[in-house]
Amino acid sequence: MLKKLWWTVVLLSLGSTSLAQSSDTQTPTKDTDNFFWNIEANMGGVYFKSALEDHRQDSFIEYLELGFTLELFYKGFFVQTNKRRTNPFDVEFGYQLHTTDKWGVDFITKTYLSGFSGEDIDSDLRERRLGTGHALRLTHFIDDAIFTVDLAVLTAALGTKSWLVESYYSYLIAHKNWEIYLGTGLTFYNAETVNYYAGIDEHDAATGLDLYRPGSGFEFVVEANAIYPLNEDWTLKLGASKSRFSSNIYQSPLGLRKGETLIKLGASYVF
Amino acid sequence: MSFKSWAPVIVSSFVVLASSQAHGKVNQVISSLSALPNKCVALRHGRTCFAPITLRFSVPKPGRYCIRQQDNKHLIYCESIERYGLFNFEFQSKTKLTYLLIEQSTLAELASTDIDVAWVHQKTSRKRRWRIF
Repeated sequence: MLKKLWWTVVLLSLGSTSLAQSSDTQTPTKDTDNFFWNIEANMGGVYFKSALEDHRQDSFIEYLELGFTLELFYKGFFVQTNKRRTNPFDVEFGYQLHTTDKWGVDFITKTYLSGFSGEDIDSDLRERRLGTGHALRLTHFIDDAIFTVDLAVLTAALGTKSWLVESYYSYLIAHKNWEIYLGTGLTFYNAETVNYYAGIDEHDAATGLDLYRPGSGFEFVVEANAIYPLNEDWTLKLGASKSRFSSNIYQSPLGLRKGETLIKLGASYVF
Repeated sequence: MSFKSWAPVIVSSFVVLASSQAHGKVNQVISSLSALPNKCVALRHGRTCFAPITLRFSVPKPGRYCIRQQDNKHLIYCESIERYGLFNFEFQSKTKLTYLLIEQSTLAELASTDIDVAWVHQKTSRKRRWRIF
């Protein structure tokens, strides 16, 4: 129910954006107080060592990253990608509930956990769906830094009581024309969430694995991202992130690594 | 003497005349000042832009010449040159700047060049959300 309501709000907000564009006597520019948009085409290379031990980047195409990032803001409603994080395709839909110079409160929907299926690791394991969550995000602005805390309830498909708390601190170093974002985060996953992703239930146990219910767990992450303007249309982007799971997660019989590693190098065309 | 016999002399005279005129133009150096690159690109509107710039200049006569910003009396570089000069420096500005070539003895402004500032992202209305300043 909550999910349906949320998507209705998002669709209405996007609809109202296009209506506003067509009805305004003055065509909205890219940057006004009420309206903002940014579209970028991204291309580059990526090295990704996922949490699954058996998952490999086998072909050349898996090292390529092509796609678009979209940012829209209209009177509080927004679609955004978090440039401070390494994954630029991490799209957030939301509504700005409250904002001051120092604090902000948003209601957002985003994917917090990537899922996988047995096919990814040549196994008959049950599918782990995408961990999409609806969250309240509290943001504290501290000069060139941002600290956010997301209190997220994950979709019911994962279990009715799946939730997490994601905290992230990002600090900007502006060196000449470079923007360098250094970040660190800690996420707490409740037991139901960890059991869903890293646990071994009766279905999985049929493949020969032992039953495993790890309970609640943590993930710690450090990231560094840099952006450099090549000219008025193109930017160079570099990024790296390394995460580490709590031991009860990576000791799962599923065959998990202690953490994930992501390294990126690419360029973006800014429309 | 027929025209045919005079023709080579006439043609070669024109060639010599044209050649000497062209040669005279080459020697006549006028004052000029150019910047390479002549544009600095920053990531976001309002940010100070940094760029290594080379100023090339030429002068009509040997002497001591200087470079300064249009809105600043301070001479940032001076050099004694015959005809041509180079000046490398780190450009730092949020806005377009004009640089002048000055003859030091007279302080006469001989030439000027602009270095523009551009941005990939124009100002963002969401500064409070993704504040970077």
